[in-house]
Amino acid sequence: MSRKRSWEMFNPAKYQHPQRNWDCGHLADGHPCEIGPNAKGECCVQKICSPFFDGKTWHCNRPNAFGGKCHDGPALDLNCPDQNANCPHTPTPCQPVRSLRSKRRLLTGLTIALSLGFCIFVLGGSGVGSGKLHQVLDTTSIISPGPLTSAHATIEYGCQACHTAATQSSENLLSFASGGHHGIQESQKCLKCHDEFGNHALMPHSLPPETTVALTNYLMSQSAEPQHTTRQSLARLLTSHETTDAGELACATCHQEHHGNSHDLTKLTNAQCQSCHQQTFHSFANGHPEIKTPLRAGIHFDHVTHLKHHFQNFERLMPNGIPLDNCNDCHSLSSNRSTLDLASYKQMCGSCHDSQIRDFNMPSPMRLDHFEFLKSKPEIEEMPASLAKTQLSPLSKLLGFEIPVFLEMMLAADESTGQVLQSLPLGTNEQETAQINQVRTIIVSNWNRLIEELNTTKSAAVLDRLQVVCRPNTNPQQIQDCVDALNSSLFFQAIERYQSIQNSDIPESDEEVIGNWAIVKNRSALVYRASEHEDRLLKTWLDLLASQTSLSDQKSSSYSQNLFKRMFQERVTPGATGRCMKCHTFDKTSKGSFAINWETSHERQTTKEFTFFSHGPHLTFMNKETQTSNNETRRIQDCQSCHPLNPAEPQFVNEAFSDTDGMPHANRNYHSTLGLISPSKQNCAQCHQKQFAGDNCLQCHNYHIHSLNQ
Amino acid sequence: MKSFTYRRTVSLVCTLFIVVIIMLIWFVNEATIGGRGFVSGWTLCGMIIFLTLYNLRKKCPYLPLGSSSLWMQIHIYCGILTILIFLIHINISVPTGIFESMLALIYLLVFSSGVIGLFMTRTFPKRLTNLGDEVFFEYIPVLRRQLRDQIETLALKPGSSTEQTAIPEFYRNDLHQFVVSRPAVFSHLFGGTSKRWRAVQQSVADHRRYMNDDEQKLINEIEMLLRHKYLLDNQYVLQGALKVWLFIHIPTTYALLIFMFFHSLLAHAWSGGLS
Repeated sequence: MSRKRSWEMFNPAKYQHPQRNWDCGHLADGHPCEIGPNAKGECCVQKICSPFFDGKTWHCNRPNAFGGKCHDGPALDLNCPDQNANCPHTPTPCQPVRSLRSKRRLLTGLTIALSLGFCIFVLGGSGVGSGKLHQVLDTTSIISPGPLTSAHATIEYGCQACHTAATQSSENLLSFASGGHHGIQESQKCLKCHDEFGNHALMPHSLPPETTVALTNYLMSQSAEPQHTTRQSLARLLTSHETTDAGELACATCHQEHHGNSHDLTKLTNAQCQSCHQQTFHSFANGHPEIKTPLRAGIHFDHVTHLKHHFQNFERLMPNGIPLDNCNDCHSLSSNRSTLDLASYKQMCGSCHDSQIRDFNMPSPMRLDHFEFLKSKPEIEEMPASLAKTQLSPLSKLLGFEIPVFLEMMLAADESTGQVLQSLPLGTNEQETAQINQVRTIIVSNWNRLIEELNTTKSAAVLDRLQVVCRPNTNPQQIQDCVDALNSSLFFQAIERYQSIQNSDIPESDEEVIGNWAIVKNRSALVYRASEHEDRLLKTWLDLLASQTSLSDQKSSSYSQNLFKRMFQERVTPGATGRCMKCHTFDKTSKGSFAINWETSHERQTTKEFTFFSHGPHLTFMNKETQTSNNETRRIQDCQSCHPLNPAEPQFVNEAFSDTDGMPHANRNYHSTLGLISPSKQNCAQCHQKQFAGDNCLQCHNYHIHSLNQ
Repeated sequence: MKSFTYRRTVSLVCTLFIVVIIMLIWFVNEATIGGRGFVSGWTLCGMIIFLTLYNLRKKCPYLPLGSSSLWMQIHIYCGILTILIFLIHINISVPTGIFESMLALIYLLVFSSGVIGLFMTRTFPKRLTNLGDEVFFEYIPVLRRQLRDQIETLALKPGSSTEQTAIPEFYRNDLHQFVVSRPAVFSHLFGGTSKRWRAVQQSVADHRRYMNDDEQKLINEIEMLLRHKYLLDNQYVLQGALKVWLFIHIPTTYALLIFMFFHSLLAHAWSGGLS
């Protein structure tokens, strides 16, 4: 077949135009008519020739494009030759067929209709209100960009369990998609299960706004200009996080679902973590702030003093007389492989400190305060000479001798005692002296009634009076524990014996012991002696005192509050009975009172903090060589590779723990009070770089800061 | 028409520009939290709408919107690059919902049909040129009929010298089926020789040895017409393929636009505050 022949065969008049919607039905047979179907798809062969009758004869009227006039002329209708004639050359009529283009248009239209129908059907079924599709298929199988994580895969309530849109009708979907803080509404659904984040769960870091602002201002004041990278600058320019007016963020901002069963919902890149932060930096090794020194420990244990002095120079070796030379003797990795657990007091400290707890006569550089509960009332006949000049309490001044605070507290519970003490004059002139004597009479009467109640109603008397003097919001169980501790320590038996000795003619002895109580000083006082570590009475009463004590101004405090404060100050000196505060520290609480740290920092941790440290992975590399950023090998030989001992001289008495203001001092950090030097960022950054041990923010930082008790 | 170098340069510049945008999206995506899928999603949506506008450009040749060939070049490069955005958008994972699966499937249909169409429009014209003729697709049935008539005239013409020969019988038994049959689509499409054509050739060769000189002359003419028919079939298949791939590409494109619209609606409504 030659090109020339092809063109010769082509007749432009018979060209089947691709744009036409209809083709002649005879095209497939190779005999298309020359006129073809019209736009409506009707065969038009009859229109090729319409014979013309001039009154005498019929004439062919075929156009030249279709061959011109024929020689034979029209064929006359034999029945009616004057009325009708047909062209004998008219092709056979056909059933026109659609052209390719027309078929494509038809297919396109069909596809559009099907797609629209399917989508509307899906949307119509997406809302619970209509529920058409729900009758056939579950919505989760219709609309789901990917599998849920394994933790969420068991949610049984379908899409509406998390998505508010699932409860919307299809008519509302467009307006629902275009605006509103639906993410916050949906986040509330998350919080139905994840309820541990507190009242500010949706705020940045789950912190109150004022805390976040304060933290931001603090950090901004600590560093120079922000070091946004190009990526961060572009991200801040091009994207933003949707928040409510209050600043709440939807959970899905960070935790994006439907990425598979094993997807880590908490995984974020460093750049993503910093996308909100005012102060950013390039990496942990480059720009990250220096590691903040931790707060002081719950238990005061100076490693330098113990390792370099006590264990070397004394025979107080642990356990069972074996000297400690390994950190593992006291510290062991906890089950969560994050923190280090301490061995028990008995195992670590008991052999040396048990005797200190029991022996209140042990020499001490500090004054050893007895836990004195009762004191005998001397004969009060005359008014003390200069009451105003003494440092005693108003009641002691009034009675003319120092009475135990416990006794004063019990007396203060009497309404009449409180009233007369509030109106106590200084007593310098004759009229006032008479008034004071009147008050003393009331106090002495109350005193006698108290002693009688302690002998008769016993614990009920203490309970009633404590409930009066304690703050209204005090936990009743805490008061009850104190009374129970008194009861179990044979306090009331001791009082009974104390009274019987007072009223008898039995020869006096220096000391008589009932339970943990001792009647000392020629029957003048009833004092308490701790028997062992974790003494119940000391612990419960110290806790009560700490919780009732506040740092408010003494003048503005009530009489009973000042009593609690005085009693607390007496009890928290390191040399007080039991010597609890020699090792245990106390901190301020958010309520303005105090709390004693009976456990270690990890054990008493009540808040999920910004930063955590996992010892487990680091101990794995103990005595193994690791590569550092300088292409050098580094070996973590022992704990002191990261926590070296402070080379300073051993401190036998740490002032930070004898202070009674309850606040850790800014210049006395956690490790200094433990005799250790805190690890530096430079030390960590030797390994913690992207190409080595990794430097992802989430390796050390938590996002949600919340109470662990919720 | 602009020169090939000019068009290629403009296309490459456009491609580089789109690549830079894609890299920028990837770059920024890694540094943002929240609606990461919306960045890639709306970029993909914008690119697909731009690709669809090529059809509009073809329908409005009177508008000064640049040459069609330039649009075609940009359409090709931009279309190929959408697969990168698509993979970023779906995070290289398989959607589980029927709606999202269909959307992904429709996109892949559009993309793969476009790639196949690109391959065909780049290779088939050369093969058509090698066939030695240029035939209008719509006119091929007519030519095929003419060839059939010519062949049957030669083979079955009454009163000819072949009347007493075996050629008519030979035609009816061995050749007629090939002459009236539809083209062997796959063998022509993939450049092979169809089994039926090989059988015809073999049959003609087998019968030729028993023919006299007149019959040899006649069978040569018939064989030449049969070859024309075979080449015409080849033309029909190749040109048909160049038209038929659009039967997938264009309807699925419209379906993709519809699904995209509803997908964006669902994504924003079900976004959990990311949109």
